Amino acid sequence: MRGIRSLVLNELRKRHSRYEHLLNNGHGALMYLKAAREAAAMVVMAFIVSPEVFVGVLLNKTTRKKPVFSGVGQVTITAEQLSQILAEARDRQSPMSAESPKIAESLLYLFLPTSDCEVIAGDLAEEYSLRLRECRPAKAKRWYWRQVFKSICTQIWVALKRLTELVAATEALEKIWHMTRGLWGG
Amino acid sequence: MKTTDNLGQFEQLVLLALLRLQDNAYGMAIRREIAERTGRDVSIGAVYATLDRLAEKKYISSLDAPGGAERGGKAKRFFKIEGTGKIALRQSQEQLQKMAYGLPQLEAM
Repeated sequence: MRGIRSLVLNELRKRHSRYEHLLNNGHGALMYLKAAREAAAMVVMAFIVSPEVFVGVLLNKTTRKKPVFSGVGQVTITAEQLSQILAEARDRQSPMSAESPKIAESLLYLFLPTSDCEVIAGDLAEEYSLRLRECRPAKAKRWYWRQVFKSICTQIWVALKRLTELVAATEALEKIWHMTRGLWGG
Repeated sequence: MKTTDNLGQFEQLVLLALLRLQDNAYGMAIRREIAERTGRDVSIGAVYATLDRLAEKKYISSLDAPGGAERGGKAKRFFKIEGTGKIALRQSQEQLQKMAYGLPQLEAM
């Protein structure tokens, strides 16, 4: 972290020397923003020079030595807001959004019991976002679809089993009725 | 000892996962625990179908909590094994052990 901090300060001194006096006066704080998907390519950093001014630097993740972009801006947002903006930009740029497959999710809501739909969709979304970080998006999507398909099959099996039990119970009741109808005067 | 319903193999696995996970027992964690320990790639739907069945038998209870951003704000359901669930699990394990006890075919494996 210390290495990255000095790297950002050097970048600031080199390219934006008019803010150097602020640095020399000991101002500034480093924000280290490690966004989930950018982490594959970049480390996003911002150095708050003063309450109004920040310098943003994008670093090459593998080397962390070579800044690939730097620029000065005005601080108008909080770190959380900036992080959110970066995440949204990432999702727009990414060919495969971190959002779980919508059609598959709709099938869940269509076939699974209402009481379980939301929690199952939430569990799948959580695991899907984890898998997106670990493997290729296509693989994560395949995993999601397989889970949905298997879950629907399970649900159909459970429903059929219950139906069979219901039919068996009805038949048993019918037999009892026929056997005892004389007692009821039928 | 009070006799309870017989538990199926997967029901036992789910209850054992609940015991292992303790306060962090929710659907996907249970699925992961079973997959990692047994090598069975079970679906989340199968886990919930079993959890629903166990809840109907009053062997487990659940509590819904609000979900975070990683879940798209969708609720998270935590499960807890109840006393009757522990008894049923113990009985099932004992039955299995009694049946397996002393079988040379199993000991050689």
